[in-house]
Amino acid sequence: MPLQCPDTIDTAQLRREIRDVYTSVAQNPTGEFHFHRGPQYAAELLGYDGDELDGLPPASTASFAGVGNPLAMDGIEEGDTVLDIGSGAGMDLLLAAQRVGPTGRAIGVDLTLAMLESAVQSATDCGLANVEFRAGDAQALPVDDDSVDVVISNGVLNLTTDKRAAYSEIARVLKPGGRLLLADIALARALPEGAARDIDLWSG
Amino acid sequence: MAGALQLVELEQLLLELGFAEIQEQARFDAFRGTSMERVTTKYGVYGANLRAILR
Repeated sequence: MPLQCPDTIDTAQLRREIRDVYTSVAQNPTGEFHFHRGPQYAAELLGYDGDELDGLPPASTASFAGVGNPLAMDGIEEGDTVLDIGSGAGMDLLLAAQRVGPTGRAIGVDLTLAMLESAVQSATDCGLANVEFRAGDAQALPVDDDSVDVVISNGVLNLTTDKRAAYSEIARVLKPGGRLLLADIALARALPEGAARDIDLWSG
Repeated sequence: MAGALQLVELEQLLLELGFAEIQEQARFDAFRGTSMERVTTKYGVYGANLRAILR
């Protein structure tokens, strides 16, 4: 897979399609999608603690559509500043905010307004004052240089059209010694040319 | 899924950007039971946890 999407793909159209899909997930998480959502999936297939998820606002877990479990990896400590790229409805970010405690910060960045609105409400419902959300793109993060201890992301960076730009942004915002705790889909082998140029396979 | 990388490609990119201690820590069958399962199986797509440290 090249680090940039094929030039035959209209990146603006791709961004619109991605935004549309995840707006639908935010508004109707039990709708028909070709990927799993929700806390039961997170607990059964990804190893999240079901009791911990039960303690979060249902809206934050119902729209969860990650593909791994970044919080299962060591690296988040009390007082840390954590950035979640593609924070969605906020499930991972709220869990991270609980771990860093009142002396830490948890910042969520997402492209989808409906997800951000839902996540803001869930953070309020949790009474977490150390959480903030920003509208933005993984390839141009609205975050200062060298300001973050931990970057997490779950099932999002594969959707970026320029991988070098997206991962360069992570390197820019992390402090030296900062940790990347990434969950994403990966390929066991290179995709055939036709599949790599299929916009429907990009957005899904 | 068409934007996913092979882990070896991602590890190389992270090394170039100054990351170290890059470790794949877990794999997940994230598409099991979905309408995409046949396609993801065909193309070898899986969920992965990966940890890295910025030097």
